[in-house]
Amino acid sequence: MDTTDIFAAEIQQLNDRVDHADIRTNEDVRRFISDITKLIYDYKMIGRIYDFYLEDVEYHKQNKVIFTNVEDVVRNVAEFSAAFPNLKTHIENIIVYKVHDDFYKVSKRLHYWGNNYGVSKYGPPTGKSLGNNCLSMSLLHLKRIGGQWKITFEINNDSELWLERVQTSAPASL
Amino acid sequence: MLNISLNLENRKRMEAYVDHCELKTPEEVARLFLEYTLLIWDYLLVGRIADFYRDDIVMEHANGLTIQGIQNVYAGTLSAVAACPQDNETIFVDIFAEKHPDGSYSFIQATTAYRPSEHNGQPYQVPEGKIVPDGQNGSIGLCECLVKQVDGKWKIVREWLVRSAAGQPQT
Repeated sequence: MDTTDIFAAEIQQLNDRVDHADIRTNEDVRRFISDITKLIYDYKMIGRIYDFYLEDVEYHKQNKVIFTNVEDVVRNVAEFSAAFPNLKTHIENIIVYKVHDDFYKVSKRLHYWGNNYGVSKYGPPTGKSLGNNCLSMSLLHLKRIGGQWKITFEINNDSELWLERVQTSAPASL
Repeated sequence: MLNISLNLENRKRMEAYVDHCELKTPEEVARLFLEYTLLIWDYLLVGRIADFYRDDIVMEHANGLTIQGIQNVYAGTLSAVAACPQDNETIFVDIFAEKHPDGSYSFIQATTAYRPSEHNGQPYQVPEGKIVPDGQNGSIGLCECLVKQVDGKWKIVREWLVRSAAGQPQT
């Protein structure tokens, strides 16, 4: 069996799980957030952002970068994924707080792993690895709207200095 | 920092809560560490770091930086406090906690800095339909802590922190 077959099967499994998620407990939320993170970043299903984020999401990144709609989020993730095509997320902790049945507050802490093998806004690929230095943290609001669970608000802070350094240092031999 | 002289009663109220909180629920934990953070950063009671931090605390920051040991925590906090403008206020965008099966807690806080002097003396206000004013997002810091009972006392045993370059320092 090719690795692509395994990859495709894993995507299908995640898709099935998130599409049929019955969120009632904190553990359900934890599983859902972990699954959509993996789908988007590890399995490169960037288009699923449209399913999980409110169209006019309020999204804050560091240094006054604000996304006011889902298109901005998609573009940002697409650029990041292109710069690190072998990107993996190592999710370390997800904190869940239930506000009421249709609203959960969630935080997520992870490290991004991968190599700058793709062109980025900083220039040509460097080949350098993120190692275990790219800590990323998010705080988000997950709400059930019209029967669908949507992220309506998010603050996402990355290790911006390290990301810039990896993408701008002298190219390594690949 | 806010005008501490005008807020001494508020400080005493928060100290009473911090000193007697029993951390029975996630809501109590959230309020505890909100007020604890303000006591340190806005009311300049830096010595109270000793209330909840262990000698061998490990703080993982962004970009691969790790800070270890309570003396480094004191040094970093004092340095940041000294550099803050006089009217800098800590604004909590959000804080919430979750209890683990072993009785410990994890909490997350998002904070930003606000200086009334930069806004004609007006208090911090969020436009309707928003959670954070657009002008504030440049300095939102995210801080996660793991809180456990150690020798019968609640302690922050591990901390993770990511903020932008212009960020408000965290507890």
